[in-house]
Amino acid sequence: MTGYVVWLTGDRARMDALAEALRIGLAGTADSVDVLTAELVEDKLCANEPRGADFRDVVVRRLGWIGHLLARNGCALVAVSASPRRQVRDDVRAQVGNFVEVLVHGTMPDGYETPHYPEVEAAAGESPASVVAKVRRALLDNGYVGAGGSVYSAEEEARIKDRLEKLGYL
Amino acid sequence: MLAPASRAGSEVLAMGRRRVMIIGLDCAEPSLAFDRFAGAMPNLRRLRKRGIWGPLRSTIPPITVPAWTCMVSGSDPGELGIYGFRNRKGYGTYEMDFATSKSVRVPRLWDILGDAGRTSTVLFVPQTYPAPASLRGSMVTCFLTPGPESEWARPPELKATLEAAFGPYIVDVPDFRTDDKRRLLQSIYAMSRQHFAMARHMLAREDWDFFMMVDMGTDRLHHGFWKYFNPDHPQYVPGNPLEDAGREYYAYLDRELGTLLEYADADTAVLVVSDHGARTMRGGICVNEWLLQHGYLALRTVPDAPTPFAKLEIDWSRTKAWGEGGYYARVFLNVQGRDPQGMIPPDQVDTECRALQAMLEAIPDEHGKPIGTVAHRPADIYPVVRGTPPDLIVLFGNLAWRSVGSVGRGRIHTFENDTGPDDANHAWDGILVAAGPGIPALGRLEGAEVRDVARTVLQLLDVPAPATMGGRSLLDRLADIAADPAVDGRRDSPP
Repeated sequence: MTGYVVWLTGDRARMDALAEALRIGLAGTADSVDVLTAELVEDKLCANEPRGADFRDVVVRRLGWIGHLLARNGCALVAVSASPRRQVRDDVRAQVGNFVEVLVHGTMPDGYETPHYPEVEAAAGESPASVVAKVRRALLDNGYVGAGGSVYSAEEEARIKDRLEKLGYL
Repeated sequence: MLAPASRAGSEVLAMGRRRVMIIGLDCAEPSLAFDRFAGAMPNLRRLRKRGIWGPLRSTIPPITVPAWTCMVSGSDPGELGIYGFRNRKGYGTYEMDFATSKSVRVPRLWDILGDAGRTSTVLFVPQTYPAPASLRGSMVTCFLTPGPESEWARPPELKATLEAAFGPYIVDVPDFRTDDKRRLLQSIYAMSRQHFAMARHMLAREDWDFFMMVDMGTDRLHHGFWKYFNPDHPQYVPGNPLEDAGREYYAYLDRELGTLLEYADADTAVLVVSDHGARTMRGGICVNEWLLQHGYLALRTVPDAPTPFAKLEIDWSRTKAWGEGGYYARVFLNVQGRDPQGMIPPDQVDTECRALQAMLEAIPDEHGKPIGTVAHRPADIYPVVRGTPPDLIVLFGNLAWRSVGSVGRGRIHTFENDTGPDDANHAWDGILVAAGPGIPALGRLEGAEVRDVARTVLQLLDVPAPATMGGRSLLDRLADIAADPAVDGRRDSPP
């Protein structure tokens, strides 16, 4: 079975409830579905790291690395981290591959860098169930739990192809 | 609501900050805008007199995707890894994928400006669907939006606002391939009128540093009506009822341009640009038919009627090369160890590619006369080649002929494309007109390229360009010309 990482970024205060809903709602889509927070990584894996300017980035990268290992072995990880830096998140995305970024709107951390193309956006006040449904759709569309992978649905892709053929582009 | 700049009281005017407005006219042709129809375009003529104007050299290939993205990123297609509307998903599959906004891995002007704290309003610019969540400003996505029900606006609530004011979003001209030319012309006008009206709405209400819109109507007009108003087209009939369709549309565009310019104050630099031009299409070269006849393409069943490439029964194990249709051809070799059922041994790829390149360039017209085809190897024309490039980019007859991907006609030359009549192909040069603060009135400028626009905009807005951005700011080029007119360009004013 294919593994993947669902990465929650943005408003940290909303994430625990969302992560628990995702853990339950995504059960069966991978060999296992677990939740791991940046705080736990900081406590267990970074306790002896110097608290320098890039300490937060180190924590985020280690969380991503664990996700990479799990996904590579067919498991799913719901990663909980405000992770304000876009470049660090993009590095983790590149490392993991099967990566669904969920932008959790709300109170953002200082200096937060909004992702260019998050697969899912959890609007302020949006129910966890609704977010789970969006994540399931994103996993499906990207081929992490089934066929697909385009920004278009099959019906949309057919429409675009027909349009471009008629316009002479194809 | 902000008033037009020519009227009093704008808060933006009072701030006096530099802004840039780009009005894009997809496929606008220099010989029409600057010559034949110049008399019908007084607003454009005034703009030309105030600044610079001339041809704007397109990308290789000269096509909407990726040309507009090259313009707003300073990249070339090789750097983007985007060689057309559809690109190979990878060498591990023969499938193609559409080049959407998400395919663009380099920052575009609105990304760079957003990081610098500047606000952008971006309307209908090709390859902007889906709109980026990180956008600082507002956006209406392009004709690659599936339909009016899609999420085509950013911020999302903008969609309801625009729908309430202008009705359902007209993403593109419906039913483009039709013989009902009157209806088609009405549809083109309906789309453009709505888009320009939306543009005025946004200009009046948004507080922007950078505004850009692209009208697709010009392109649709050229492909649908070129033969009616261009005497060099083989099917042109003098005095035909649609002979004025071209002039009238360019005159209409100029009136729309005039209304947008009302929102350009003394601190706003204005650029009117196109991604490529247009020229008469002589006909089509059926590239896969040719590959089939010359033993490069193998089919299990050869159809007896024109059949799209995607519906052919291809024997990949015996296929050495295959091609994509469109205004130019992308030809892929089928290489062992690279492609799923590769046939050409890796050590013979270079030899095979050069042989095929020479043969494609030698394809004559239907009378056996040379047509001047050029087949490029991507590594020869791009400093960096990303993504899954074709092995050859083929421009038949220097764009006088298009590429037809379907098989089943039994002949190489055709005078209809896969889906019906088409009058025009793309031409190498689009248009450039630029005027406003920071742009001297130097008249005609030669040598500008699509990729120069991004750096020019950033310099006008005093925002540093990324070190990796290609192109050259036109302002630097103009400084050279001002110092020495013999450098590059002439000081002609518009007639």
